[in-house]
Amino acid sequence: MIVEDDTNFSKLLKSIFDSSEQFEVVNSFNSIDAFSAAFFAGGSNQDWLSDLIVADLLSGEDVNHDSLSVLLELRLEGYKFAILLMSGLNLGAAEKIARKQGAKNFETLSKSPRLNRETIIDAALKSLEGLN
Amino acid sequence: MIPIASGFTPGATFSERVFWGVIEGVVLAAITGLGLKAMQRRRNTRTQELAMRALDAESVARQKVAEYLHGTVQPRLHLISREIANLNTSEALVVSTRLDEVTDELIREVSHALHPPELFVSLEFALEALLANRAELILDKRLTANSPVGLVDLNVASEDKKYAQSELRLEVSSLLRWAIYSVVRELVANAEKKTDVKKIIVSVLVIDNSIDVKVSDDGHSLPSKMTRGLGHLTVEKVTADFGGSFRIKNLPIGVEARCVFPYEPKTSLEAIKRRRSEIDKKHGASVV
Repeated sequence: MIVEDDTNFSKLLKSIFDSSEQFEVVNSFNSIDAFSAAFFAGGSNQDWLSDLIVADLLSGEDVNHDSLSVLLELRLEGYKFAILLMSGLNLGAAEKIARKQGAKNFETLSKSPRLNRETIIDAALKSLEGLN
Repeated sequence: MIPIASGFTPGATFSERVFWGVIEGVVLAAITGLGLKAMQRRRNTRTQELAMRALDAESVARQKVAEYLHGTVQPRLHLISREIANLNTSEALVVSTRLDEVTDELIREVSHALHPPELFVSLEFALEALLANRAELILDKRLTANSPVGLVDLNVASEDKKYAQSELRLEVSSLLRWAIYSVVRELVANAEKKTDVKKIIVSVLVIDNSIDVKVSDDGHSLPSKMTRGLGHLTVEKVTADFGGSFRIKNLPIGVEARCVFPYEPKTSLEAIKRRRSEIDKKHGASVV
């Protein structure tokens, strides 16, 4: 699943994952609000969630509703999935916050202009290590 | 009226006139004093309201410009950089790399000064980013991602709710986040100026109806006669604008600066519920 408000970047991510033959993008959302709307409308089941959620940190329509908080809260509730968090912001703070919750299956990627296909796939695979 | 009438009653003795004159003066002074105090209170309240509105407007303007720089200008410059890089010459790659560096450096610097984009995420995220490798952060649990917003509870019946009100994450307005961030930034920078400081501790705690921000260090004490620098004056102004207080004192070892901001605790869940109908309309579903 991809949660990204930049449509072009979202399409790029989908093409990278789909063409890797290691991933299949099952759904894309343009905001964390749209993602959570669909999750709860779908009965908030573990089965609805994908193994990996790739999310932009600030994809919320509401600035007080960031992706990190929503995804960490779902994990706090016992849902199992890996997170690959992306942002143009320095993500050291996100890693520190996630570490307080154990930080398993959590990776970050900086949205720098030098970001490439290999880096994205590597980070996605790393985030999935040991997921059960 | 009686004193005046009595004071000028024909035939009143001199001592009677003096007595009533004094009484009249005291009564008039009391009435005028009470009136002035009430007027002063109203004026102070109004001034406080106007100050908050001005701060709010300023904050919105800062946020919008910062968002524009971060969300529009920076990506566009990156796009131009990609187009230059696609020319596939060694010179083009050098120019592209340099453009990226300058863009990131300048945009980050300006947008951070206006409104640190980390504050759009959360107070916890912004403070962690600000204090990384600089100070230890002790943040009230109810202001961290370790406290649930209660998203699942939002979608179940009240008897099935998992979390008590007191366990839920607290919401801090963007304006107050900015104020807390600003005072911490100033106070930590001030503490870092002391060459003998080895450790800085920042604590942000919710205590009753206030947010208590403390920055303490283990450096040398303050002189008994201290001239406040620009940093302390900024902190004093920011806290005063929010109706709060700022104190600085020596500890047995080191110095503690403390700001107290008035704060009405409300959970993020309450805030989400208030916004929910608006978002529901957009998505046609229950959104949390």
